[in-house]
Amino acid sequence: MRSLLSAAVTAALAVVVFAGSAAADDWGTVKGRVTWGGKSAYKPEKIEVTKDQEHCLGKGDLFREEFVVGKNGGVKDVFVWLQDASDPTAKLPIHPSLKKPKTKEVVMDQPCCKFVPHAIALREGQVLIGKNSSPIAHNMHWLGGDDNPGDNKLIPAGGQIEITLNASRSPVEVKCDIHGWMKGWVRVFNHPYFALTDADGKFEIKNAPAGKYNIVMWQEGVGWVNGGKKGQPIEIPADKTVEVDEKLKPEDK
Amino acid sequence: MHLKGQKDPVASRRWLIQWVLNPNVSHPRTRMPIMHLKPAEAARVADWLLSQKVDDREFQEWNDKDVPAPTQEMLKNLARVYLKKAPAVNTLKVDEVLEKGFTDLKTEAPLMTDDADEQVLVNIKPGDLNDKLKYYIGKKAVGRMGCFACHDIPGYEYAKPIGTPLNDWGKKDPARLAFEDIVAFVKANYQTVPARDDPTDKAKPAKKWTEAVKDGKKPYEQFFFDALEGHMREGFLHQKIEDPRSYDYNRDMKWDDRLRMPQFRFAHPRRTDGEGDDEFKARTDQAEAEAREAVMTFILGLVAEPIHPRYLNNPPPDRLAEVKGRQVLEKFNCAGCHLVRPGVYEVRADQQTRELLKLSHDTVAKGLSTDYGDVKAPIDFAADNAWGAPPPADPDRLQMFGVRPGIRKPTPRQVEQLGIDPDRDLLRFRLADAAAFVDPARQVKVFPAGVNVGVFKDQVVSESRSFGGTFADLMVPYLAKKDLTKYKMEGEGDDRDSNTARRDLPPPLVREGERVQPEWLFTFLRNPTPIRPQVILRMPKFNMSDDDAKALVNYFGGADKLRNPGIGLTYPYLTVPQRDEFYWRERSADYVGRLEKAGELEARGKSYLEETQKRLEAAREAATAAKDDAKKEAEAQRDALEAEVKALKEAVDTKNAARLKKSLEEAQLYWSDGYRLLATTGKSICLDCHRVGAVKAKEEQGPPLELAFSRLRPDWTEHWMANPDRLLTYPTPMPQNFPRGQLLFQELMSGSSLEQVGAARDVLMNLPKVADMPVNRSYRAATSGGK
Repeated sequence: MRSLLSAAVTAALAVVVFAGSAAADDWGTVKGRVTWGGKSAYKPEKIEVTKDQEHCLGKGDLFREEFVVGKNGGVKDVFVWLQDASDPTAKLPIHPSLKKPKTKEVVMDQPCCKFVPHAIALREGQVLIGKNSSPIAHNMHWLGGDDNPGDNKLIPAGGQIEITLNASRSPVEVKCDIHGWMKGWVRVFNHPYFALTDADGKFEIKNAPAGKYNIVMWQEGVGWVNGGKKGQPIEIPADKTVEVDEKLKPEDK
Repeated sequence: MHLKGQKDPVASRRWLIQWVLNPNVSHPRTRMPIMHLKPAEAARVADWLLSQKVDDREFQEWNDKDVPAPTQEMLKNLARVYLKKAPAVNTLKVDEVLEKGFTDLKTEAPLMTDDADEQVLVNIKPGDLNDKLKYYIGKKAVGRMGCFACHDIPGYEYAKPIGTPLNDWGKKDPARLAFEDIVAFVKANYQTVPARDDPTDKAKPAKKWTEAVKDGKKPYEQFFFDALEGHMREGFLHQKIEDPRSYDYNRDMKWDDRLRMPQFRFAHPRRTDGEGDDEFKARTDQAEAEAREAVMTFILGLVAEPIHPRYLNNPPPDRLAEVKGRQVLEKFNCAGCHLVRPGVYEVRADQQTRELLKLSHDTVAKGLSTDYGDVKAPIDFAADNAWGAPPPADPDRLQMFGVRPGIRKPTPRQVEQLGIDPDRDLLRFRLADAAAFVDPARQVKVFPAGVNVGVFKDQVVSESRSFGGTFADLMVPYLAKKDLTKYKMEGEGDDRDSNTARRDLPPPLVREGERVQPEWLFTFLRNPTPIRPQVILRMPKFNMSDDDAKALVNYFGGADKLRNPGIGLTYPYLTVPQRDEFYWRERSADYVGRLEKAGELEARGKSYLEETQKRLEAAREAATAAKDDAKKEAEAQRDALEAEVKALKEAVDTKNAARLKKSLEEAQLYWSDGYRLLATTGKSICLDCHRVGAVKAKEEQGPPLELAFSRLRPDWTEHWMANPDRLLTYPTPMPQNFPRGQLLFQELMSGSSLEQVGAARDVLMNLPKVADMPVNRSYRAATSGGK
């Protein structure tokens, strides 16, 4: 596990407002942004498409998605979540409005030889739909350690499969072996306090329990960021917002 | 091999490159294989080898005593030693021969045999004398010193051993042993001591033993001295091994009559930190004495008495094949590259272990409902040990076969659900065979092969690691480092691996006997040909004899028959029932019956009629265009199609199911639809990664499917296609293309996933015949863009 000091990301916690200590039934918001902190400017890397070019390149070139960095430097698809400060396995208090997931199913499609969305954060109980809306066959090969042993199934054109996953600290890697460049990532949580950064690198976790927690981040290109598996301490004020800005440094991975 | 002593570095390098390229040029019987390298690659290997630093001290003596080239006089003197002993060559003749050789051996030395070494000295041309003498001396010296006993030297295959036979030495009469003046020798050179080992710690030499070494004399055990003095065979043997030439002591003899047995050194202990010279020497002598005693025990046990058959190992044929094959595996170091056997783990199944296994089983079963674990349907291939396992004989003791073990901590989910200690170590491995256990509710559950299972490390009673594959294991991280995009490492900790790298490296040979046809394997071992297009290392060509190859073929057959008795494996002969004419007709009838049962007969009849009509149009055009002899054949084809279309059309138009069935059976629809399943460009999933004869793959990632006909066994082929992950020791990139319970590719071939798997297997086992069916020939031409 990385130490806080040697983390791949330089943490810059900017606490905006604090208002007294939080009670168990107080709720706040955590939001922030992850930006590119690499020594050199990020350059998208084009994928050499070796088969089904007509279809795969029909909507333009494909690029590697290990890092997806927007024009303003925001890093997309960073998993961000909260966990108990002392016991990572402890259950978090859950806001009444978040007792159940809003949707039963979450879709990961393969419309043009890439997984869309590339990364998905799920809540245990939600079903992952592996879909193939393209006119060619793909397979879905997922591996996620002991909690999600994985499988390797063909999904013909227009087909779909249902995948039930368990909450786990290990990410689930998804790939298509027929088109070796296709990769995707899924993380499954047993609470609702997680987010994925958007195209601007922004994330927001609403109705989080007020108090002292750790904020954990994971990105496929660098792995654990921001204090490793334990994350960085954060104090969530009741009815307020705490902001967390991070820089991603791929050189330190 | 050490090349430092070579005088000419350019010649050394050239020789080494040639050796790496094809060692058979220098040594026709070497075990070093041909690696299929290009000259530039061999040069790089040679350069790397030559750049390796060696400990020059080891070779100092060689360099110091660099012997000058012998003069002709020296050669003559040496040759004289042997010539004088040659039959019917007198002293005068020796000198004459050494000047100009024999002129006619039959008249000059009539007792000489046709293969006598002296034949080389006949009719020596001027200028050749030195070379001829060197050859003669060398040949004689090798024969005399018995070098051929350890080294493989051509020409000495039938040479007699130079030593005394040992097969009954253990009962040799001591009166027939020549003790000579050995007691005097021992008294002059050794110091007797009561015992060798320290009575309190046998690993250390006795005090007096060490003192003798310090006095500058070699210690000698009193027991063996007494035995020597009493002319007992133990004493003789002990001294013979200790110093063979000591029996020449005080004997007046010529230098070339001295005893020839080498002075062996059996023990090679290493100096420990802080150990003094004398202590180390005493310990070395002690270790040598101990090893000598072991050799003596063996030789004294050689009494040439027949062993009662009851005590002879007489294994059953499969076990014998396994044992014999292991010797060949070892000879060619097959296990260096290939994983040959999975590990065996015996585990105590206490209550918590059962709970842990139950949780893992529940987790695994969630994702396996398409081929396994679904309570509503039986397991597809329960008799195959990749899918099924008998209930454990002792529910409290489990035996599991697995690969790639690693230690890890329980996941938070396991901690939370089972209340286990988060710091308790788990031993985790990938199951190579299915494994059964009894869950806490006393229900027998089975893990199929190919899934990862964790057990408590402290409950593992015995652990025998898997055998082989070290090179492949080392290459995985190397490849990942070299090309991270292609060979990305996946997983965490001990689990980190790259299955794409595994795919491109020497394959595991677990289940090899189940997988391949014996005849193909034999041919492949004798002359390996490329199989998978993307591998980074080709199987080298070994100097393997027919017997070696046969032993390996039988090994894989025998080993898998023992490990997986349920699949009915046969070797060394194999019958492929799918190639039987009766089977061919039966499948055709079954398939058409299946279409009728599913209500698809009429629709398929119509579509098949349309396809046949198209073929007829093409045949008509071909018949019109054909000339000479070809015209007759084209017209015959056209006429046959006319008749087929007519019969089909009548059956379709009149909706006569019986006639339609008959027509489709005669058209062998099962086989043509099965072929469509494999080889329809743009629709068949196989063509994404495999070539099927003339039909190209989108991107070749796997072996060409026409190889399956001669290479793969039918049952394995079926099981592999049903779920590839069960049969490999790593997660294969080949997906489950016909997931159970899903109806895919119905437009190519109607049927359930298992029926499609069976059809694909049948077609592969008959591929040349099926691909050559007229319907498939024209069909292939139409879909693959022409022949």
